[in-house]
Amino acid sequence: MPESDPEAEFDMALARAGVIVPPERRASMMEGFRAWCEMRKLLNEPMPLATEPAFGLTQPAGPRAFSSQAESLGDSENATKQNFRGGSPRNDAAGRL
Amino acid sequence: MSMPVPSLADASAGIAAGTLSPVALTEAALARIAALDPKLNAFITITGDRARQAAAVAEAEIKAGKKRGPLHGVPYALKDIYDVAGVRTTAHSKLLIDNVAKEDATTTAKLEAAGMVLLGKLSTHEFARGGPTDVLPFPNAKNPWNTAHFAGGSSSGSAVAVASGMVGLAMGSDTGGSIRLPATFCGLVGMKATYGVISRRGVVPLSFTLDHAGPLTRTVEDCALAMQVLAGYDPGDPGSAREAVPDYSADLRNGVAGLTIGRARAYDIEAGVDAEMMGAVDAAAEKWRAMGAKIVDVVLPSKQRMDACIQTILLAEGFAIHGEWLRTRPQDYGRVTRERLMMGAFVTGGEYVQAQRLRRIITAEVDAVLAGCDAILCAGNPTAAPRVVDVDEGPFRRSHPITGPFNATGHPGLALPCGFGASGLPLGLQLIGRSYGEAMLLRIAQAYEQAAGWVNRRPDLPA
Repeated sequence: MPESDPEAEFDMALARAGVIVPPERRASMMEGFRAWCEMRKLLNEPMPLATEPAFGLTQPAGPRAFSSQAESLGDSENATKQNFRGGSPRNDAAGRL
Repeated sequence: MSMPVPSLADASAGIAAGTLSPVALTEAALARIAALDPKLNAFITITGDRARQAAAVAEAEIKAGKKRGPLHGVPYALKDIYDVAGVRTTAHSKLLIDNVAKEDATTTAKLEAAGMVLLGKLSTHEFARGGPTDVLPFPNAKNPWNTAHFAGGSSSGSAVAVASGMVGLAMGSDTGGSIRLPATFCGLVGMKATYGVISRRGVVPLSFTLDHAGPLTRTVEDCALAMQVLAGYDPGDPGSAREAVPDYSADLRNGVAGLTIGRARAYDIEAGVDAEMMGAVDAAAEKWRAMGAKIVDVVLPSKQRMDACIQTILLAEGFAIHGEWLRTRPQDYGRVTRERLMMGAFVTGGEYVQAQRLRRIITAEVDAVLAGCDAILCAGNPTAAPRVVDVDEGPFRRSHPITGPFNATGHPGLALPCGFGASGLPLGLQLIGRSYGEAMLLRIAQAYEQAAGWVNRRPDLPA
């Protein structure tokens, strides 16, 4: 697999994210980025296709819980979104973050 | 003269016997804070008037025969990422300096319902992510055993407040070790319960699927008392577990005879645990063996592999939460916080999903180890608390916490003091249990704590 150019990837990722690293901190951030590039290689271990993400999409157990939540929301479509997106915002601060 | 406040259990017993009053206890705690906090910086906000009022109410209720439970009238404090209605939640950051919560966090509500008395909000690393030298609106907490050494993080103020005897219970949070590391560095008991056991609603998030709320206390018994109040399903937390709450104190004194503890020595070696810490953890294993436990060697998944899993998730989820402010208000973060959060810009969607898939695999691998033992034993940190000037505050740490992998797997972890180093600083171990097996960890820890006696040694602090 061809290696990406770390400098180009570094700049592209920051530009895409819209964040700016001051010139005087670039070397330190680049050192961190290179360490991350080494670490991420470990994510490429072979996995069976059936290995799905942990802590991914979860639902309350059983159709009974689903229907009671839908009733309380008064809207089955909203209930579906709640279930599949993981529920309501946790707090005020979280809502602003 | 200010004396350390008693443990939760002693305070509870004193109130029950009528030899201690909630008002006197609260005044003693506030006096201790007034005497020590200017040097140790544990608190961001001290809620003295509120505490006095709550203590008076608790005292009147108890006198009227309306005692709510064993912790009624006993003080506590919260890491300043927990919401308390009408009190600011700053996360130790300029970005939330004026953020006054409208509602209590679920944990706050539970502690209040138990009749506990809030003393205030505690220092943290900014957003539970920065470092101990970041320049922030409030000073950073200092380790009461030696102020030149790291108090641990991010629940630094929580550990400092309990270790210095300002309070018997402080709530922390743990995304990669932020309860267990400060507990280890300050000689305390710290519990990261199974993911989902303690609600996160109303706690400022760092990483949705890695964050755990939990208590720091002086003793194992206190941890059990706190867990009894804190645990339980919360429909307001999307990750909350629908599990029955056991009696955490029921088996506390049943000893360890017949139990099996898996010593994860290879894991400690991979993590770079030094000879002093390794010796203390091995000695603890021998102590358990002498009490009738069977000690077996166990092999955990490679730490490096587990680190890749947790760090990828932490970077991505942290960036999802903070991305907007990193774009619009980067100057309002401390340097360490900002750079660590910015690292999340480098994680692709594919890498995040791979990490979540790997998470499922390593969780099953740790489950398989736990099928053969009642708990896994490893070090709480590779060393005793380092000097603050030696703490790695780079954007991406050169070595990652020994505690972090169990945030990825969600298993419960308990930090427990296991001795003192040559420097006089505490050493600590970590017990990892089966999911929802907190009571077993407490039982194993209690046996060691009582046999070892480290719990009686406290930092030498001026009054």
